[in-house]
Amino acid sequence: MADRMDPWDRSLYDLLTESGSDSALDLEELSSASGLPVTVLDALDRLGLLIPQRSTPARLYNSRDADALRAGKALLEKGVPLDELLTLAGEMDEAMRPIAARAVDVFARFVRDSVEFTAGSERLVEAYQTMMNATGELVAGHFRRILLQTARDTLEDSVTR
Amino acid sequence: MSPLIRSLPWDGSGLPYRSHPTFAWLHGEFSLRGFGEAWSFDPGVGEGRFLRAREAWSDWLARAEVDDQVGESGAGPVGFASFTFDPLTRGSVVAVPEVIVAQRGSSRWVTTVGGGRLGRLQACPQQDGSPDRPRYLGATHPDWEWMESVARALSMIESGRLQKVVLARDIAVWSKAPFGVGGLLKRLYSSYPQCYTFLVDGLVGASPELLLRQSGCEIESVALAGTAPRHADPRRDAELARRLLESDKDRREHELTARSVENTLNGICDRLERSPEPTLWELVNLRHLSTRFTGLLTGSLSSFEVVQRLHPTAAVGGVPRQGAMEAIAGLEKIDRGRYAAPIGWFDSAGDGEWAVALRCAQLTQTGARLYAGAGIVSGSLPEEELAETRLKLRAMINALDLRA
Repeated sequence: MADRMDPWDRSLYDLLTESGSDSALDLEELSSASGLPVTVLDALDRLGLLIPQRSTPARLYNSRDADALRAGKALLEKGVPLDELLTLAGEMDEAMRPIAARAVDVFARFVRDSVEFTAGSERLVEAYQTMMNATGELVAGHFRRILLQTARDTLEDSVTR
Repeated sequence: MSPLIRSLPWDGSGLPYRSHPTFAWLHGEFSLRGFGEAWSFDPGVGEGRFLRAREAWSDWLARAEVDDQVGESGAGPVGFASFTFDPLTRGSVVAVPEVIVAQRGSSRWVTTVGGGRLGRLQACPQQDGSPDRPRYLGATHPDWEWMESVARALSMIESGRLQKVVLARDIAVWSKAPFGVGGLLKRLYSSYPQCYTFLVDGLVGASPELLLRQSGCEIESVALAGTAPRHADPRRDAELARRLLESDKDRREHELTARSVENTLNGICDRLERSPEPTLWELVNLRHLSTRFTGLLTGSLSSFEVVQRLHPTAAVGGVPRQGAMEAIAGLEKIDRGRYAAPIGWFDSAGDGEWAVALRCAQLTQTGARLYAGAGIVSGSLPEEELAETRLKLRAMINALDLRA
């Protein structure tokens, strides 16, 4: 598939598919790195909440997924039931996918096209990396803000009620 | 001393059940609400608990005097019973309320036992304070461990040791005010009118599953297994319904349950009839595949004895029965108590209606333990079974929230 790509897209595609391949983990390794049982990881994979970096010949996961899974495990250890966590994650996933598609579209139309006209492909990769980090910060920061606000409002509501 | 059991037509005037019922059976246009307790019996443990319950009921009745001026099914002497899932667990109950307020359609009556009087109930103050919500306390085991048990059950199924096993999990909730059982019953009855809303010794719920309805030699039983969620959007809901009807996994799960009921009833019935294809049994939150059986008993078995033979059906145990019971004991590691076991009411002839105690909570003063299970067959996915038990638990948690 990559062979038929525009060379500009190709440089970006290579970056997206190679990232962290040197530290890929199989399911057992991911289980011991995250502390979550294989049964749970299998379920997360089927639900599309854990996305393997590569599926053939065997499923391999990015070692950074272990960080996210450990965060999930911390929630379980604080008493959040897994069924509730999976329900939330599923709703989040469903809500975020169209937004991700829109974000990719914005990148393609306003950054990629403009960089292609004015500069070299290495600038595209650099722009992508900057935007990836910035988007992560933006989304996480905003969500943290909403969480805090909602928690505060809930507490205030419980007083006025 | 011989108690007098008297049933009188009642015009519905006054509020005879101002206090909270201690017993209930509500289904469709038929309702029994029992107050107080005139007699109770502990049938002990083992398979014999059903027959001992039946015998103790007969012995007690033999000493009673009956004045039934209503003459309907459900009038005259009526008792309630709830058995433990595991024959080795204590806690089965048989009891007779002091007062029963009953209704079938437009016909109403009151049955009193011994000193049970309507007047005493009217004098009871409402025990409701301002109701609280159910607050999560925890589970006997975390739900991700339950998911691992499902995976282990699946490998037992793949190895051919089992065909089906039902695994349950529990959660505990607490509350700052006692759960008002009267309001809870009303809520369950109106949310699930096609279910059997029951209350016996603090076990309260609304079960979709009729284990047995017996009148003389006529019996009826409904096997339910194979479950799917519902959706608020009618188009997606219709799609979920179609998928359930066509799901190979759910059809197999259902067939194993239907066959377990059929095999039991075939041994004791003449002219057993079975609805040819499973149909959809729809509740507000879930839908199930359902098969209905009707037949005529060949011998003179009371409903207690028929229930003993039916329990545990593959809707709550598994196939093969014994292997599934062992797997449940090894994997679940919770005490099911009277969850997933026969619960119902019966009359002087031993006829009655029995449900499988599902979608229920065991109430204590300001706490409750809720149970939900899911049938595991080849092709089940642990996360889907977890989601199914979540929906079942959620329904009961919502019902327990009686704030206005």
